[in-house]
Amino acid sequence: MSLTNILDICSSAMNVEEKKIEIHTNNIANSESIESKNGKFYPYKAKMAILENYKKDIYSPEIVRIKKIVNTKDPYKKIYNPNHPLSDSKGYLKLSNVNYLNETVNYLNASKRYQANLEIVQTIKYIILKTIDISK
Amino acid sequence: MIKIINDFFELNKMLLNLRALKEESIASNIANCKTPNYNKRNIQFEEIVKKIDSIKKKRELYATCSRHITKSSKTISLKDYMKILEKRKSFKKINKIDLNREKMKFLKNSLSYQLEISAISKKIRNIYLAIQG
Repeated sequence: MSLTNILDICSSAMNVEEKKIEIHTNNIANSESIESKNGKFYPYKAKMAILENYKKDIYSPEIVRIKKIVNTKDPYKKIYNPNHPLSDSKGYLKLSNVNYLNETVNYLNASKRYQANLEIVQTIKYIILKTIDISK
Repeated sequence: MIKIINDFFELNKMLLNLRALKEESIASNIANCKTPNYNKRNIQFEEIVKKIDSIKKKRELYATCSRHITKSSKTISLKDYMKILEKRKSFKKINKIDLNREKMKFLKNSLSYQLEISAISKKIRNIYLAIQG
């Protein structure tokens, strides 16, 4: 039944949007944190999700899922701060490449799409209930 | 007698199935509105109904205009619909889905679905009346 397929589609989309919201809040929260790799310290790199649509076969619904989570390609910010222990020989300190404005806007967009999917779920629920008691 | 009643609901059944499929395609569009390389799905009723009609024309409703939808007596399975849908993919590479427009389409389609349902229940009530006398 294609009406129940819609519920699958919406749940997948809501999952993806939830994950995206999580990624954006994580970016904002970690905008000043430092990662350590092989004994060296690096500023945090902003992450973003790449989506793909997935279909098992031609009769199954077309759901959306996260293909992979990648680092963004924005350059690091640099400030002059010779007192900081991690600054280089010229006194410049690298900061993470998180762009607050981008993250906030993406977060708002994701929550808007989440709401759109939620509205669909409510409508479909109503429609299915109406279909069930069709002869009353 | 049962067959007559079955035939009576054939067109409604077909339209209801089509509405549900359209609902699914719009929901898929909304879910995939940020997926790169996604082909927007679209269902156009006229074409599908024409195609289904051309599969078999046995008993027809009396049509006074060439654009009227006639009733086909063959039951169409979901597979046939899906085959028709598969051919109707648009080949745009860039994802250009307008979320608000899709939402409105969805609303319109769900209202049409409910209209179809109320028409069917009215038909059923009429049949009850005819049986009881």
